[in-house]
Amino acid sequence: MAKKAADEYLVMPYLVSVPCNFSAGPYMGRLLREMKEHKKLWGNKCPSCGRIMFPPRAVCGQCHGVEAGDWVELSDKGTIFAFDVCYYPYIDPSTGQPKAVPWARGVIQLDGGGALIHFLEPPDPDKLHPGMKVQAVWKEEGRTGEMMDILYFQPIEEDKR
Amino acid sequence: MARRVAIVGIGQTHHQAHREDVNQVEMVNEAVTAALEDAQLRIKDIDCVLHGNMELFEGVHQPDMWHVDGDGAYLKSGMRLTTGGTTGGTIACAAYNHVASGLFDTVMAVGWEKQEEGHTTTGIAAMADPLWDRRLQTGAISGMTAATMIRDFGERAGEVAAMVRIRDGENASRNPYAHLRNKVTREEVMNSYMLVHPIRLLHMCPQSNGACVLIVASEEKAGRITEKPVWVKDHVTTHMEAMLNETILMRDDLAEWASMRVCARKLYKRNGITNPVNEIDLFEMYDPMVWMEMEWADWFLLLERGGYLKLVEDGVTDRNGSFPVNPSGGVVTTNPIGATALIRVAEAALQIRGDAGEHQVDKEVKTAMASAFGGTFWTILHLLSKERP
Repeated sequence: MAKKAADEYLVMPYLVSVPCNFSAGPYMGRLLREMKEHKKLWGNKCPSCGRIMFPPRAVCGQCHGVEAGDWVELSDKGTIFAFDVCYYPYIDPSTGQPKAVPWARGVIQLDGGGALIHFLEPPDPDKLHPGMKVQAVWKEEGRTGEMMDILYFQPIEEDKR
Repeated sequence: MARRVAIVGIGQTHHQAHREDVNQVEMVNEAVTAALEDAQLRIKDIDCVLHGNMELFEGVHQPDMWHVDGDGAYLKSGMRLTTGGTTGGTIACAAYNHVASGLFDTVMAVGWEKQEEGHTTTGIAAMADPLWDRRLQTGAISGMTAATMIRDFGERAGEVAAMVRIRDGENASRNPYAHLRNKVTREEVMNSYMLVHPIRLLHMCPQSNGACVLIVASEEKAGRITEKPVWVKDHVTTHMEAMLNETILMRDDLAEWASMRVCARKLYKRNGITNPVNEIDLFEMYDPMVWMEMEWADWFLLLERGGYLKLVEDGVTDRNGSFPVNPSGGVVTTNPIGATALIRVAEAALQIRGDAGEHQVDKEVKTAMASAFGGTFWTILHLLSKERP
């Protein structure tokens, strides 16, 4: 389409910003409190299929609503299952601000059970690989009870290559 | 007993990156008008209008209210449905259900998206659990599928990714409604900009503006409306759990329980299909990037992991192959999200009618399958047939 024609169309700019307050509930709430106060990760177990649910939740969706059983303390060390590295200009939807690229994230299988997606350092595809051992780097001051109380995961020294 | 249901009208816009020349209502109306013309119907012949898109993409709540002038729903029955990427598939399912139930005779399904008006990545990221991993979202551009394919198949996976993109470009160049209609070369794919390692720009779908409309009717009405009804033989929807880490890990331990595989098994069992690649003539697949087609097709077609790579390498999935996949050019060349899954059903139906024009496949199409994908691997499959079921 010719640029001249496009200039004739009126486009209305509009910015939507919605402040939200989400209730964590007793299960997610306990995990977030443990992260904030003790730098620890907790999941819970499905009494029917035995899997560790992380983040913890009230029921096992796979077993059609079986109420969760025992709490289990999880490791903050694990193994990279898969990772990606973002290079394109990205607006963080939780802040509305551009996020510095590159940044990496991975699916991390925690030692002993449970898994999560989290940021990885360094954000370099040549310095990360599936199967690599990683550990959480916690925020030392000012934890607020959220996933970002862990800053990122980084390779455990002996597994760097 | 469900009544038989046929697709009797198909319409879509010329999907593009820029549609500043129309507002949403006017864009939706283009596809509505095209579908009514295709069916030789007037809006008074429609009993019910179903409408869907992703509200957070444009930031308009309940746009079906705004769109009444464009979709013709004034004083008609109707319903708004929005299920993420699967939206178009869900509307098609609902249109079928409305007619099959006997409550309505002629139903219009409207799927649309005008992505230029909002911020799609924010909309997609906002689907993730706000208490947990929302901050970890890259929107639609997640590299995990590609990363596990490369882990398992190395450089071969990258070569097949290029082959799929070349095939989609060839097909799209023949489809006047497709968004990215240029043919591409292996070198162009391999050297395109790295978006999210290991996904390159040409592995990924564009952000399109467009709408698609299907009109479906009962057997009695269909017989009066068209000489070429396309029958909706069956549809299946399968949901997954919400946590992204669990859906990503299903590649290894839970591969048997991938929603795509469960959905396909159910569809094939109900319809007596044992070898889908031989018994289904064509597949219009919802694949937001080439890597997803390469991996998910194994699950849909009940193949061993990596089995689909060979089908692509051998040209089986080409427009003139024995099992064409995405002869329209697919989602990688055209993605107006709320319309996208409906376009899969529409394109499968056009191939059965023999009305796909330049991108019509050479073989006769008696049975075609269409898939929808959304959020954490929610899946829909439609099975269409030329013969009355």
